[in-house]
Amino acid sequence: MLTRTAKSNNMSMDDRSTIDILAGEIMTQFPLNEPTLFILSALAPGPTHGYAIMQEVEQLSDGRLKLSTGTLYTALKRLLEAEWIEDVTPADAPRGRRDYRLTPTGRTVLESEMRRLVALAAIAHRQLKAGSL
Amino acid sequence: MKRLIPNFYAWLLRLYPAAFRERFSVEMQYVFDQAWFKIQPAGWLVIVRFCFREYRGLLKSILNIRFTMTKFMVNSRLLVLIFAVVSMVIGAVLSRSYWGYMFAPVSADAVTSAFQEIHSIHLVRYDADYQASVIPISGLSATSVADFPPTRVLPVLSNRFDSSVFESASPASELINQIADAMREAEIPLNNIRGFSPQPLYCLARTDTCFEDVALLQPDQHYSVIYGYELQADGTIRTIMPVWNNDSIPSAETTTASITPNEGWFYFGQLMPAGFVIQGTDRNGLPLVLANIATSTGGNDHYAYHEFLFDVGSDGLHTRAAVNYQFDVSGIDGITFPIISLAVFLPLCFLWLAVIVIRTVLMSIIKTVSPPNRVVE
Repeated sequence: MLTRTAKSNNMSMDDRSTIDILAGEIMTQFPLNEPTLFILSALAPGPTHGYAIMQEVEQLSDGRLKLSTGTLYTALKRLLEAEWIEDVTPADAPRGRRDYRLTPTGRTVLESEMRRLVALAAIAHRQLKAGSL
Repeated sequence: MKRLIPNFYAWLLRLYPAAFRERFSVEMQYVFDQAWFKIQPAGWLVIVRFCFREYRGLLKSILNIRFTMTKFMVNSRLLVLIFAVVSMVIGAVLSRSYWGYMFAPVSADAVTSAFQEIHSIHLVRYDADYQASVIPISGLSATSVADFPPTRVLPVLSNRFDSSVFESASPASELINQIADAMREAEIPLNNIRGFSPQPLYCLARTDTCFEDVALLQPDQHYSVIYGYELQADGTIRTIMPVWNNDSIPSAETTTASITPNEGWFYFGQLMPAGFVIQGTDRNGLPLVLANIATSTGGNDHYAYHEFLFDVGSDGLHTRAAVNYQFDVSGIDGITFPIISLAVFLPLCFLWLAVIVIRTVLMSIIKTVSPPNRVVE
C-alpha cells in the first residue's frame, strides 16, 4: 500500500516533491473502487466521523450507495493503513466517535482519480460527439 | 426487539480479529446504534432492509478482515508459501527416490537416437551373475508393453528394423560377458523374482498376487493353483493349472493356457530380470549396443529399470548414455511429484483451515463467557 510521507496540510517544497513522486505510484492504485472514491470524496471538505461519512456517501450517490457499517470500516481500516486518511479525533469527542480527514496523499489520490475520470469522460464525450455528426 | 438487533450486532463484532476489534468495534457499535436509532420511525420494510444490509456487510467485512488483515495476511501467505514449498520438497524427494524422476521418465531417445541401423534384437534373461541367456520370442510387435519398460525402445526404433532382426544369431558370448561386466560395474541389483520352477503357485482370486507357500494363504481366501510354466519354442509361455470340480476343489485333471510376449505378465511374472540386447550401428557405421533390464528392487510390485547405450571398443564396452528409473505394476504409476506434492499440500491447507475455524469458535465462546475489555478513551 501507498505510504504517506507528508503529515500535514502545510507542506514544504520537499513534501510537494515527494507527493509528486508518489503520484506516479498512486496511479498503480487506480481505478479506485466506488466506495473508496465516495469515502475520500466525503472527507474532502474536511474532517468528519464514521456515521457522517455513511450519510454523506449516501447523499453524494443520490441514495444509490448505502454503505453498511462493516463495509465502511473495512475501507477506513485500509485507508488508514495506506495513510490516505488520518484519525483526528479531538480529546473531548464522545466515546465511540472518531473523526477522520484526508491526508495530503489522500487528497492527491482523489485529485488524480478525478483527473483520470475527467479524461476518460472527455474521451467518451468526444467519441460520442464524433458519432453523432 | 429494539435492543436485540444492536446487541446481536455487538456480539458479532467479536468475530473480528482482536487487533481490528480493539481499534474499531466500539466505533462501529456507535455508528450502528446511530443508524439504528435513525431508522426506528421508518416502516418495518426499511428496518428489514437495514438489518439485511448491515448483517451482510458485517459478515463480509469479518471474512474480508480475517483473510486480509495485515498481520494475518502476511502470516497466511507465508504459511501457504511454506506449505507449498514443503509439499514440493517432499514431493520432489519422494518422487526422485521412489521413481527416479519427478514428472516422467527420461525419453528413450537418449539411448536410441544414435542408432542408424538395427542388426539384431534379442530378449534376454539375466542370471544372478548378470549372464544373459536368450529367450526365444516370436510374434513380438514393435509396441510398448505395459508393465515391462524394456519394450519402450521398440516403437522408437521401429523405423530402423524389420522382423528379421528377431531371428538373427544370438549375441556373441564375448558381448554377453562385456554386458555382464558393465552391469556388475553399475551395481544393478538382481533380485530374481520367479523362474520356471516346477513348484506350484497359489494365486488369489481376482488379484495378480501369488504365493509359492500355501501356508501364506488365509483360510478363507479363494485361490487358484498354477502348477508350472513352460516356455514354448514359439515364444509363448504355457501355464499348467488344475481343473476345478463343482465343489471348488482342484481335481487331478489339468488344463493349460498360453501367455504371449505382448502381455506384461509374460515378462515380469516369469522372465524378470530381463530386457533386450539390441545391436546396430550409428551414422558413422560404428557398432552400438543397447542393453536394457527390468529387475526388482525388492519392493512390493516395484521394479527398477536400467538402459545403457554402449560404444563397442576394442577393449570392451563404453557407456555412451544411461537411463535409470523405477516403475510399478500395480496401478500406482504416475503418483509422482505433482500428485505427491498436492497430496501433501491440500491436507496441510485443510488442517490449517480447521485450526482457524476451531480457534475462531473457541475464541468466540471464550469471549461470550468473558466479554472483552472495551477501548477506554
